[in-house]
Amino acid sequence: MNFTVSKSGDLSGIARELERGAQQGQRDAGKAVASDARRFILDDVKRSRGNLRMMGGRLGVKSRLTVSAVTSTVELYAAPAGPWAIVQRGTAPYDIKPRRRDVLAVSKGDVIGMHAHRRATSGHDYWGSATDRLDADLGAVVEQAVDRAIQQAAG
Amino acid sequence: MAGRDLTYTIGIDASDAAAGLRKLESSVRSTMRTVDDELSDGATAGDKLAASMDRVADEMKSDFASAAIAAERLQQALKDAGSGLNVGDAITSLRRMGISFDEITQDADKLAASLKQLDDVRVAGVKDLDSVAPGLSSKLDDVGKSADSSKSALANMIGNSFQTMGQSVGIVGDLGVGIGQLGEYAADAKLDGEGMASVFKNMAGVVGPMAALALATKAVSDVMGRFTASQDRTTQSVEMWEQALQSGGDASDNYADSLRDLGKVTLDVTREQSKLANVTAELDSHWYSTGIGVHLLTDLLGLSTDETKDMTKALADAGLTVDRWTELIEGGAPAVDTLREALTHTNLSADEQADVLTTLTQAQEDHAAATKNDGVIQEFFGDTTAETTKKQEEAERATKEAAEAHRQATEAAKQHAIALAGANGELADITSTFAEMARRGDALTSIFDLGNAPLDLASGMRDIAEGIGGLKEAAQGINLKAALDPANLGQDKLLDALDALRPQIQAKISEAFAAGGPQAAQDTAAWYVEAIRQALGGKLTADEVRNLLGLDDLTTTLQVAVDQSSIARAKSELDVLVGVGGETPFTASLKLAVDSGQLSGEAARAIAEWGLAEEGVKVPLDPVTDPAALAEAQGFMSSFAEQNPVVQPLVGDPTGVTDAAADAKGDVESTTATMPLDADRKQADAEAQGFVKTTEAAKPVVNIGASVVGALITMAIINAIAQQMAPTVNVGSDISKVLGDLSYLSSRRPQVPVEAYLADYPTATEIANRIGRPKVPVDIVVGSSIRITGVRD
Repeated sequence: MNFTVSKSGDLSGIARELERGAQQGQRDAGKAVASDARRFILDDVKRSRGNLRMMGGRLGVKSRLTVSAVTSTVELYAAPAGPWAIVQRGTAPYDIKPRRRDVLAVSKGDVIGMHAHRRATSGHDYWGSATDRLDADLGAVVEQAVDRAIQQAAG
Repeated sequence: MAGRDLTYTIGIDASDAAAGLRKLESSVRSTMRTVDDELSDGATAGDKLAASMDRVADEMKSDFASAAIAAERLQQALKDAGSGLNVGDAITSLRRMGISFDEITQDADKLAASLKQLDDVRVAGVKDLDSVAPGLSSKLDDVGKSADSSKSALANMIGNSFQTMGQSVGIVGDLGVGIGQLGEYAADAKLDGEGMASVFKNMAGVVGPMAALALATKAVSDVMGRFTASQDRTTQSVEMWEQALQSGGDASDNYADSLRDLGKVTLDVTREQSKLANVTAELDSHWYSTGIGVHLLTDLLGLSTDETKDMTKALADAGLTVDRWTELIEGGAPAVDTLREALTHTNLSADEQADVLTTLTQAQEDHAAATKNDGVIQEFFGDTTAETTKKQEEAERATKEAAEAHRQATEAAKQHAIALAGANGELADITSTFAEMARRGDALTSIFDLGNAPLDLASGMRDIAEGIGGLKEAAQGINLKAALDPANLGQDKLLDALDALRPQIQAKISEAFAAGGPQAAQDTAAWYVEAIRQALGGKLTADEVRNLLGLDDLTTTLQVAVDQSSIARAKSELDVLVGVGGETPFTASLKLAVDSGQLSGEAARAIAEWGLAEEGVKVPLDPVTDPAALAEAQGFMSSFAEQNPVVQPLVGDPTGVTDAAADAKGDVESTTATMPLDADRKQADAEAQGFVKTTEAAKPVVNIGASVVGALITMAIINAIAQQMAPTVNVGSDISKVLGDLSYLSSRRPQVPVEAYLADYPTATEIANRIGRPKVPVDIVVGSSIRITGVRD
């Protein structure tokens, strides 16, 4: 924890600095918690699903942190939204029809057909499962993260 | 599904822990103040600090001892009572209820019995709830297991969650044990703008089984809400009758008129379902004594949610009018029989007939309650109609008059306080003036060696003028010039007269000095010398008269008197300074310098008044303006500062760099005028104790307030404690485990940037080496935790 003390006798200044220090402490703790919780969720999804790849990208978790002198609130949300939505809810079957060409082709001259059918996929609530497990271990996760944050702040 | 919908929110609330730390800090500060008062004047700031820490450690030790005894005693009592409650949880709850460790020790048996009963009720309640929500009891078992392993206040909350239902119907007293935990959490959450449903939702997010508990709690809360609404309706009905009885005239007509205004007659379904006239009180008593309340709740959970039924049409169909309905209400049990008989001849269904009869019964209950209340009023006022109204008006008028009188008295008291404050200020000035006069008078009297001579002689001589007039007679026939020769022993009469007169005149000069200072003394002396000279016919010069009166070196004498009075005043002001800021090496050195004569009274007074001004004390009367005295004061302070390793800065220069440069050149004049002596003294002491170290030796020049060093050290202790406590303290866990956790002192060294340099906090180990093993008061251990919540949307 870092406290900056202003000049002699400025008690209100000292109080402000102390509050600022407390908020910084909460912010540090919140960041550590966000990092650990994010890792927890992604690890859990990876264990269940095998990997985090989706649509050429990766399933991820973003966080938003709000702090006061004595509280911090960490909001974790699934990102990017599209891939997560597909993973969670699946897709309905649909047809693929060429719009600008006459046929579907992998490369020039290699015609697949006039159209293709994409079968339905089923979704799985990986997010729910992961956050359920996080619920169960939340106390330990937060305590470890806060402890680490305080140790880092203390040098 | 948008990714935003997949969210999980973690709340970390350390307000409890912060409150605990504030309590610790307050304890440290309080102890430091006490030590300041008690320590001898010779103690250094470091001694005081060390003593204060020792004191805190002692208090903590005592706290732990009490806690250990209480835990042991309660654990045995719980065992004897056959309860399997965790003693840590029990003590946590009891402490939150404001029961001290000593009280727990003293009443362990009673508390254990109550706790066991409470736990039994909780278990029974869980089973009853499970009949409403199948599978709930097993889930609650899981909740209990989760609670046992949880390292947060939620453990107690979950354990006591069932009592929350009791709280919602106003259960207090012994049954309220344990309610505080969840109530406190809920109150906090509501204060943050969160609704109760949201609170339970947050709780539910912590552990899975809590969701079921939250649902059950919500359902019970809904029933409680219905009870409350029913109670309100009953109260309104009773009040309607009370108003009818007290407004004068025919009560039946009044009530009928009220019913017409209301436009309907209703049946209170909730009240009928509960079969209780006063649901809240009855439920409370049943719950408390037999647990019937739990059954009642579970019964009601499955019943209709309709709370009232409009009976107006049914009554009309039964051929009843408002007036007849009012008569039936006042008719008691016979009226019910009459109505029952009459209803059999109507076309109303059996259910409708039953509802009409029930409505009448409820109305009769309300009428009875109102009549009973009215009887109490009659007994008190004697009349319930016009006279009552008149008395009430008179009472209201008297109340208003009393309020106005109170307001005027308050205003007068306020004005008096303001005037008194002003008068006190004036009085202080006057008192100070008299004190200064006394010091001057005493000084010169002492120099003249008058003792009690003026008083002794006052009885023998009416006034000095008479004595002076007598000199002429005593001097007749005497060669006055010869009289001045000590060898001339023949002039006894004149010399005796002068001897008698001398102390009188010296006393007058002392009085003048005391009242007006040196110039007044000189003027007085000159007046008496001239008077005597004229009385002796001008045969003696003024100097010869002064010689005879012992005033030959009055200027020097007065200077000595001035100095002595200044010394006396300086000592007085030094005493005040020590009283305000405590004895320091500097003030002690100052006293010694004054006593040994190394420092003049005026210079000492200047320094003392600077110090008093630094402490915010109003210094009355004239400040020291003599340049020589001020220069002497500055010289003394410079000399003292040179022996002090901490360079003194100027107030108003935050960095102090300029002054440091000036100091380096030996120009110390600017550093002595406004330096915060006490702060730097404490800084030096703290450094000497090894508590605060500057990372850049001798270079930092920091304007650091007197209390800041102490605050830093306090913060260092708190931080050292917080580092270990905040993340790991197990609220409600085994106290011995907590005690073990407190062997925490590590080698972490937080740094505090203080403007121009970094002050190194002491390591926790250094603190431990200096003051032993600081311990956290059990209150803080038990009551402080970070509260963790998780919510999945």
